[in-house]
Amino acid sequence: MNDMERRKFEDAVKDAFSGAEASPTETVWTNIELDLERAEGDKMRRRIVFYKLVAAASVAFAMCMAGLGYYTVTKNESGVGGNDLSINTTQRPSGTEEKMSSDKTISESVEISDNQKNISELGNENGNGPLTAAEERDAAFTSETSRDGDVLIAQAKKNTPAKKEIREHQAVVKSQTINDKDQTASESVQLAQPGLASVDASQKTNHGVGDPKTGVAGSKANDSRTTGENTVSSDKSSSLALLGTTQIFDYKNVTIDNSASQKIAESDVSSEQNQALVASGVALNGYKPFVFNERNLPPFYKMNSPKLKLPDNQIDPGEKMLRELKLKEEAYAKEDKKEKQQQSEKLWTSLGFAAGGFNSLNSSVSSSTSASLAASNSPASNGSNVADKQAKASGVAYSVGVSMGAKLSKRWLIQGGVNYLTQSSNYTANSVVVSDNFQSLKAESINASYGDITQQSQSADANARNKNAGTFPYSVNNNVQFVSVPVQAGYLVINRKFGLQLNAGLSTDLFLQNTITPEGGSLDKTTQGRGDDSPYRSVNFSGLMGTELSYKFGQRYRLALNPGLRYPINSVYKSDIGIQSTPLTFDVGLRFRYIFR
Amino acid sequence: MLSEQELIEGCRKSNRAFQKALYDRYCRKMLVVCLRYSKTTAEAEDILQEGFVKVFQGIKDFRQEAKLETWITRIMVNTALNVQRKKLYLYPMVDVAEINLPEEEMSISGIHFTQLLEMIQALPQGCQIVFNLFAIEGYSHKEIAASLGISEGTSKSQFARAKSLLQAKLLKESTYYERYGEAKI
Repeated sequence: MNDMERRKFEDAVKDAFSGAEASPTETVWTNIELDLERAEGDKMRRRIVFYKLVAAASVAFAMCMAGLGYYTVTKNESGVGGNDLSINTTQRPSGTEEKMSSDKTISESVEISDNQKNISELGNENGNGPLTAAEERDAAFTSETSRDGDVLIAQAKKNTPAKKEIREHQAVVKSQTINDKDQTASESVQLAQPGLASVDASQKTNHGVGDPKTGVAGSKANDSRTTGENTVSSDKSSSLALLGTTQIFDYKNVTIDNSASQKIAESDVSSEQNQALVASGVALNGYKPFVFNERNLPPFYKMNSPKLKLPDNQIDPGEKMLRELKLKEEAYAKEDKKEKQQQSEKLWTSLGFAAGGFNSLNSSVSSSTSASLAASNSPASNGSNVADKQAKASGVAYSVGVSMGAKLSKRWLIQGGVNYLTQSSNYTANSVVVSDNFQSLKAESINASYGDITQQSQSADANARNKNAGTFPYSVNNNVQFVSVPVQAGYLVINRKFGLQLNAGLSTDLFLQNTITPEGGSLDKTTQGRGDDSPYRSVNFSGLMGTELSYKFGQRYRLALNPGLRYPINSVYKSDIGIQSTPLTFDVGLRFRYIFR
Repeated sequence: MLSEQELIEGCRKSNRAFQKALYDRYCRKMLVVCLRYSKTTAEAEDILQEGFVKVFQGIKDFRQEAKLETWITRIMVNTALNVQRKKLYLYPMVDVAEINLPEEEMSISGIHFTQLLEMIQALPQGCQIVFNLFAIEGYSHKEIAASLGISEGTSKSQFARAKSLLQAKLLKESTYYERYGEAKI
């Protein structure tokens, strides 16, 4: 029989089945529909989870940004308006129950005598009278005594519970330094950092529950005070909120050494707190906090897995099947990975535009600069003020540029490019710079005063030197331009059709020019470039941080929204003029990305 | 009647009506494919169900380089192989002794496909799959060996065994016909 004849048989079989049909039962389609719906449900569920993650990431980012912004603003406000704050504090009205009297904010000096170790409070004008036993204990527990005799006490003030149901106690932090050179008492608590206790609760709560300090070290410390054998050890900060009581502790290096072989491990501190809370729960009108106790499952659940015994030379078919399946799965996974790698974005270029604002409130002008400006300017001028205003002016920032990016690994990437960056702000001046015997009138600025600040023009002819003349206040626009070369590393949090990316990096900012444009028109517009006569550094460095929310459309395009922060590492002004200006810029960019491969 | 392109487009949008239309058009042919790889109708319907779910999920990636029917058939065969592969792990295929095939090739020209199907279904598991893949789907022994994780020799010997068993059944069938003169189907 030759091959041709063999082939005939196979072809005949094939032909026999070529038009063959058989009807399946109705249940097949019903089951297919069910499977499809289930798959769609899973897809929807995954999508919901994905959007939840995106929402969570956005909220986290927004909170970070808000926190950073708040920190920046409060930091600046505290620097500028610190006096106002202190005045308000001391002028707070007293005599009402709802408001704390100003006296409550007065720091008290407390001295602990070597023998008695009692805390005498000065200026306690609440009418609370002498401390009760519980208060004394609290006070004792809140005081931390260092080995060398320095004791820092963080004590919270409380209102009398009889006066009102709900009280708002303003937390008063009292740092009390006590010199106790002969401190040899058994209670030896070391505190590496000043403790801070913030209490906002009724006195009843404080008395009944005791605070977490009482929970952690209360009973033990109390005992140790009498026995003189214990040392408390904990390297842990703890915070606990309970029934409106908020207390923040910052402990370091607290050591407990119980002579009665009662050692408390650091990890047990929280459980000690819980136990203490439970113990004190009786005094809390029957409230008992739930404490989870681990319990072992009965031995019934600890079942031994059955073991099959096969002959030595025979492989377990089930095991073999699993092994084979595992190998197959690995092979499929490899193929999938390869496919995904082919589809992934490896190299791209993008074109973008960003707009935002910058804040220079943390800028400063040194006293020597102020003095030199004041000396060189006319009496009508307020040169140092202008330098201050110009350096601290906040405004808007724009940038446009191109960038290239490449993926380094599954999640990491690097990108860089070139941007043109401009920062524009306005400040008010009340004098003009007159030069060349009134041939030109310029707006007052750091540029104009640079020679005066650095003493460069001191040796020149007095008539040729710039002079200042007082005017009505007028607005001046200050525009600084840079060419920025950023290099950023990115981490892909989500890399799908929708992408979420975190970026951080450095930028080299090359100063181009500064343009001072006085509003009105009677004064000349001046431009300051780079060089020795320029107050600006030619090369600056900034730290960059931001996110990128992108959406991929088509095979090769991605549109991205880039909120980001830019913070200069060095001042834009040269160090010899004594002006420190590091504007924090927040901008939101829109980028169009073209993916090469 | 909807064209193939319309069916594809409708299924890509997960339109249930189009999916049903596509199913109605190909389910009968595909059931025969599934029957060839299974022992019972219930088993074949399970494969059919799983296969069509894969078709509807994967139709977005269908590049239309082949005919839709060919593509669906391939999915059905792969699904059937996945199902049967599990059984093959438990009862692995081994080389079987060469059987001397009869000199004359048996004719199957007058045999209905249901009879042939019954014969194929009655073959041992390994033989059935290799016979289907080689004789009907047109795969080479090398491809079959790679697909099933067996050696090429095993594939050949399994096919030879399948063929001899089928021919023996066909011979039996024709003898019966000659003796009793009954219509085959």
